[in-house]
Order: sequence, then structure tokens, then C-alpha cells
Amino acid sequence: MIKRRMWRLLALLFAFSLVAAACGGGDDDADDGAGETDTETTAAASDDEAMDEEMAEEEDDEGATGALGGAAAEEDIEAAVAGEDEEDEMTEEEMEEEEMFDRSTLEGIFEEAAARRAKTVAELTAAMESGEYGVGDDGVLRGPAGFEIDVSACPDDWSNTTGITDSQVRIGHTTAQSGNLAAYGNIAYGWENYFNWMNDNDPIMVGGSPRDLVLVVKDDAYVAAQTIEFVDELIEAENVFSILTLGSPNTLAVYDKLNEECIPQPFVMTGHPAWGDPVNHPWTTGLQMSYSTESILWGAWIKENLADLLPVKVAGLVMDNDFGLAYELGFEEWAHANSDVVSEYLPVRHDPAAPTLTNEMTTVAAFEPDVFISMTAGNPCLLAIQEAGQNGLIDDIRAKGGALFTPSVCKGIEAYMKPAGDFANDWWIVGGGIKDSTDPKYTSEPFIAFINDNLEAGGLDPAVSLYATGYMFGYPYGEALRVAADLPGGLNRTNFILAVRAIDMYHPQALDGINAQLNGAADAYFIEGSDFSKFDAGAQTWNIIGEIVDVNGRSTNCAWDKDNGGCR
Amino acid sequence: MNWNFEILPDFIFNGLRDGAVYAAAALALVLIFKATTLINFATGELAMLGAFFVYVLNIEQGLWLWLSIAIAMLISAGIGAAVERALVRPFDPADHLPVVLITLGLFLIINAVAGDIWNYQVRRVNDPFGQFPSWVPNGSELKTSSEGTIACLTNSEGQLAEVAPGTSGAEMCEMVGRTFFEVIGARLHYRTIGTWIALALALIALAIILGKTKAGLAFRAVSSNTESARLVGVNTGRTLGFGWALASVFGTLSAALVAPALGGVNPNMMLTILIYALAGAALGGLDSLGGAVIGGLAVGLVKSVLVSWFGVVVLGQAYFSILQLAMAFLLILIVLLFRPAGLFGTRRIERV
Repeated sequence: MIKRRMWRLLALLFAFSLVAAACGGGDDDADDGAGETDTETTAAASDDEAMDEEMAEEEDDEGATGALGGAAAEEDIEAAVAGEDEEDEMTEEEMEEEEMFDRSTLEGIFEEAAARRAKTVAELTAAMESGEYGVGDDGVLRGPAGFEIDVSACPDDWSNTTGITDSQVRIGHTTAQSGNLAAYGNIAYGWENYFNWMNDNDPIMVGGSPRDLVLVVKDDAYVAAQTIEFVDELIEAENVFSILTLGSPNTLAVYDKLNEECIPQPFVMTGHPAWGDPVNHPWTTGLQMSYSTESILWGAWIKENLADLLPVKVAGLVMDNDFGLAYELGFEEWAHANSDVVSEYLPVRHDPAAPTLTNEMTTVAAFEPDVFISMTAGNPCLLAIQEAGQNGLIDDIRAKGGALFTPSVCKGIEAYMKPAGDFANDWWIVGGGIKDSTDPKYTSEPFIAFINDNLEAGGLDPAVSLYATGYMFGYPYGEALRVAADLPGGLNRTNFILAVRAIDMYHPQALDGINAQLNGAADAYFIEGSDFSKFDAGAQTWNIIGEIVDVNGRSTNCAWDKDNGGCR
Repeated sequence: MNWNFEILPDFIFNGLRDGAVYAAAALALVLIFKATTLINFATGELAMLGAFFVYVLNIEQGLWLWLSIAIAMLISAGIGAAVERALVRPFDPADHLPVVLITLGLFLIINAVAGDIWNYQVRRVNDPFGQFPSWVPNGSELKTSSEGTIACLTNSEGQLAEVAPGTSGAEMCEMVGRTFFEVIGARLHYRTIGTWIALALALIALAIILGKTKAGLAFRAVSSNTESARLVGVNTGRTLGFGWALASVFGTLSAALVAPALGGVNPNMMLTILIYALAGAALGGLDSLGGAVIGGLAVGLVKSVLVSWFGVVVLGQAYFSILQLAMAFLLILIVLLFRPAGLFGTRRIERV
């Protein structure tokens, strides 16, 4: 009997230790430096003393993480928000180019795309032929603005043309098609639908013959451990040409390996700042506005628009994973540097798998913030709005003259705003400069109409916003593949990453005023601008308030420190 | 430590609301366990299917919400009985492994099929307990606020009055339905009370069915001793089918009750809820219907008060927020280690 009880006790201790291990170090970790572990201790620390102490600790540790990377300088962004930005003036040549094409028709959009591709191909080809760009005798791939990859360091069995067969170009994709964030799996269906349209209407030509773009999709259920397994499978068994991953934790888990294996990983489906690291991770790029930029834009907006309330109390609802923590870290650093704007900041974290957020939002409401920022994704976007409505947070904040923000990844009207009903009215968003395909304001635009028609033709429901997001990623992907196919040597991995790093395009799903551009090692972020929009629940549309902010080319690169969080 | 007692009642109400949903789902688990002594891992997915039936009937077909729920329960009962007949009954009841594998397979299949039909984007549903019905003048425009519903009346020309965005337009609009009571400074939402009442009514109905009907008597006989029940002429197969049908009804009820709090229905809505329900059933006793209810409510309270209030608010430890599921597993482990039959379950006594 005693023996049995002993065994039970041991088993219980073991269970507790497992849970404790899963929780991580807690407070003790804060001594290791700033960043991720530091932020853990700030959650729910509502008393001023704790906040002050922590800020003091962070000041001491400033050197560990340095200034926030992956975004433009705060002054640049704040000036842009205040409308004092010195906008890059367009050259006469650029203005003429823009006027040459009619963006109000699909033909005009495609003509402009073709012309821009031809220009990029001509520039890259000239540089490659002169020996300035391309793989040199020393085995180094060189590209614009100091971009370099030592291809001789790639694995021995690496091939520049893996994944290109006689009839296909095989592209691997890991995404969540099951689990709590399964809705994001819809992006893959939209992307594939666009590639199918390309294959049928205007295929990629390799060596004079058409090749079908084929997506090999693996469902990782948003679990990073599964992403690692599937990426191995895509490399070793599926022999794909390039790989695109979805999700910050998932992409962080595999981007070291993909860069070691010299496999292109452009336009990943996440806005984590880590994707702007052309020196250490040259094969990886992002597409959407970085979460760091978004965090600064929240702060800049508060500073500019809530002047009468300053300093304000801000509460955030943070998804507890690499994605949410990138937001949290970004905004916390901004708040720390702007204590005259933000007097207190309370991040309340939630389990990504939590079915309801009632308790978390009760904690937020009890803090009585002037500004609430949702830093989450997927269904929690909707839950945050719904709970804020039901617990009175919306009314309380509005009565004070404050504001509520939903994050850029929650812009989808049909998916996240419409189901929240009237509670969604007047929420703000730093929208990432992207048009939502279900927004009635844009449905008659030629490219959005093309997407929606194309989706219907493919048997997909245009009311699912995330299908159109697949085009947002698929369109520049296709453009870069076309450029690469026209370079000396044709389509191969080095030409593809060269084309990606030199891309300068008009993206018809981006708002006017948003540049879609990369430039070697100098500009590692594709979209660096945003709209500030307010939701009109009656008309079910995002109304842009004020000017579009674009800090194109001014974001600093970010070598992400995986251990401590933040850019090294 | 920040002993914020002001918000504790909110957390208690939240916990008891979630707990009532776990209790209903736990009842579905216990009903099948009582009949077959195995856990049906497809309970959550069958419940999700029921919630989608409510969505189709109420939102797409325009039927009255409560009628939609009733019809969805009946359809679910049919599906539950059909699953038992087609996929469970052919197997030897003494050999649990094949049936457990079948329920796992069903879990995957139903989830995938629902995803294929309805997509994973959340679909909004009506809240059965959102607010008290109230008389609203013709031509009024209804608006939602955190207090409830506001009816904005027409002006003298018969046109809808303009309401400035973000304001309630006090002189033109009036409150016609609130969504909560204020109890000791906390919001006790009608949805919470409604969920408790629905659970209580369902329990009464279950007690009547099991205690006062022939089918219920047969079910109790089979769940007590299958062999003896068969020997006295009870059709055990049909009775087990009845148990599956009842379980599906309770599953559908739990999913329909929780759907508004989840933002709507989606194929993954019951994934996590089933784990909490399992913890509740294990705590109360896997073969105790009353235990399932108390266990479900207790799990809701532990999650809300111990983890979210004490862990996050009082101790100020953010990582407690991701411990909610871990706590459910820990609870299951502790119960299985120290009281395998649960708090109210039947203790197995082995004669030697």
C-alpha cells in the first residue's frame, strides 16, 4: 500500500515537473537580458512600481537587444504619420511610366507588369553580363545593393535546378489546414487557384517550353515541430524548387535550415521582423508590413491623434507565441522610449488554442485602458472584438475619447469584422496597405474583380477573404519567377532569389501610395507602408482616414536573436 | 501580489458559464462511457456537426432558433444511433481497441468533411440568450451596444433617424434589451444564466428519460451489466444505440450553447472544449451523470479562478494564460492517480 502511494507521489511530482518545464523559467529568466523573457514578467503587472522597476531593468539591458529593428526609424515613421514626411519625389521617367499604363483595366495592369519585368530583366541581365551580378568564379552570388550569397557553401548535393522538371516547377508550402488556425489554410487554395490560372493562360516558360507551377502543400496545423518535419519531407522526398512557410513560429523554426540548404524561401506568410535579414538569411524574405513597423505606427498614431489624453494607458491582448510576442516586444520598446505618450502598458497574453477569451478580456477591461490593441490572429481577432463589446470595454474607451485597434492580420471583413456585428464599428486598424477583397469599396476594381471571378471559376467562394490573400502572395511570386526565367541561364534558384531581391512592382492588391519593392541587402522589406483605417459596420467597409504612410526602403535590417528576442 | 477581488465575481461567472458547456459535453462522454465503458473521441466533432445543423436551419433556412436547435438535436440523435449501428455494434464490445480507433477515425473524418463543406472561416450564429425579447416599434433600426440592444425610432417623416457613429443618439434611441444583470459589480450575462437553465432543463429531461421510460430502464440495465440485461430479454444493441443518440443530443446542446461565445461555428470549435469536458468527466467520475455536471463546472471554475484570476491577475505571471489546457491534463492525471473512479464514479471492487 505504502509502495503504491510512493509511486503515485513520484508520478505526481513528475507531472508537475513536466508542467513546470513547459512553462519555462519565469522570473529568473529576466536576468538573462531583455526581450522575450523580460516581457513575460510585465504581463498583468498593473502597479506602477513594478512597471518602473521593469523599465529600469530594461534600460540596463538595452545593449542586449539594441534598438528595435525590422522597421524604419521612429522619427521617420512619426514624421510620415504627422504628414511631415519628405516624400521620395518621383522622377520624370517614373511618372511617365506610371501614366503609360491604365491601372483601371486588367489589361493595363498586366501590361505594366510586363513592362516592369522587362525593365528588371534588362537591368539584371546587363549587370550579370558585365560580371557585376550573378554567380562569380569565386562561387559567390552577387546582386543589387551589396547582396551576396556564398553558393559554394551550399550542400554538396545541392542543385540550382532542383524542382524543375520537364513539365513542372514544384513549389513546397507548409500551412495550417487543421487545428485552431485552420482558416489560414485557405490562403493555399487561393494561391493554387492563381497558379492554375497562370498555367492555363500565361505559363512560365523554361527553355522555350511551358512549365506548370505545382504547389505541394503540407498541413502543419500551425505546429512548428510539424513544420520542421514537413520541410525535411519537401526537401528530401518532394525535391521542391522553393518553399513558402506560413506562421512566425513555424518560419522561425525552419529558416536557418532552408538558408543552409540554399533553398529559396521568399514572401513568407508572416510579418515577423526577422525576415529582413539579407546577410544571415539571404534566401528568406517577407512580404507584408513587419509587425515592428505596425507597432511603431500604433504608437505614432496615438501620439498624433490622442494628444488631449496623453499620457495614455494601453492594454494589449497578445497571442502567446512568436507572432504575438513580436508585436508585444515592438510596442513595448516603443512605449518604453515614449513614456510621455504611454504611461502604462499591460500586455495580457492568451493561449493560441484558447476557445474563448472572456477571462483575458476581463483582465484587460479591469485595467481601464485608454487604448486597447489586439495583437492576435485568426478567430481570436473576432473574439477580442466580441468580448470587448460585451464587457463594456468599447463603451468605456470611447467615453474617454480613446481608441481600439485590431491588427493588420485581422483585416478580413467577412472573416473577422462582419461576424462581430455592430461591436466592430469604429475599430481602428494599421491596415498594412492591403485591400480586402470582400470590402465592397474594392470589389469592382479590375484586379479584385479578376480575383473574385477567378475564385468562382475555380469553385472557391469569394466571400472567404483568405482565398484572395493567396493572390496577394501568388502574384509577386509569379512575377519573380517570370523575371528569373528570362535571365541568362533561365529559371534556377540563384536567378529566382536575384529576381526576388531586385523586385520593383505595382501590386494591384496594395493601396495607392504603397510601394512593393526589394533592393538587395539595402531594402529587405517588401511592403513598408500602411493605411490607417476605421471600420464602418453599417457599410461593412474600412474607411481610410488620413494619408497613406510609406517608409519604403527605410526599415533597418533585423538579425533576429532567437534566444532573447529582438534584433541583434 | 495583486489581490484584485473586484473582478473575481466576473471570473467566477465566466468559469461557471464555460463549466456549464463542459458539463453538457461531459454528459455526452459519460453517457457513452456508461453504455460501452469507452471514451468516444468523436463526441466533440459530432457536437460540432450538430451546431452546423443549427446554423443551416436557423441562419440559412430562416427557422426559429429554438426550433432549429430542437431539429438539430433530433438529427444528431439519428446520426449518433446510426454511427453506433454501423460502426460500433459489429465489433466485440469486450475488445475496446477497434472501437476507440473508430471513434478517432470518426473525429478526423467529420472534422475534414465539415471543413470541406463549410470551410474553416467562422460563421456567425444567433445567440439564444443574447437579450430579453422586447417590443420594438415598427420601422426601428436595432443597434448593438455593450448594454444590449438599442432601438432607434423613425423621425416624423418616417425615415430612419441619423445616429452619429459611436454614439447612442440618446434622444432618438432607447434601450430595449440588455444583455446582462449587474451582480456585485460584475456582469452576469443572460447567456450565462441561459446556459445554466438549459443545462438544468436538459438534466431534468435526462432524469425523466432514464428514470421513467422503458428505454431509460433498459439503458440503466445495460450500463449496469450488459450480459444480465441480455439474459432478461433487453435488446442491448438497440439500447446502446439509444445511448449514443442521447449522447449526441447533449453534444449538440453544448455546441449550440457555446457557439455564440466562440464568435460562431467552425469545424474546430469543439477541439479544446472536448479536453476540458474530458477533464470534467474524469473528475466527476466517468460513469456518473451528476459527477459529469459537477466535474464540468469545477473544471470551468479552476480554469477561470485558479489559472486566469489567481495565476495571471494575482500572481502577475503571464505564462499562466497558456497553462489552462495543461491544468486540465494535470487534473485528469491527479484524478486517475488518486481516485481513478472520480469523485462520484463507481468504485470497482475485485473479489479474490
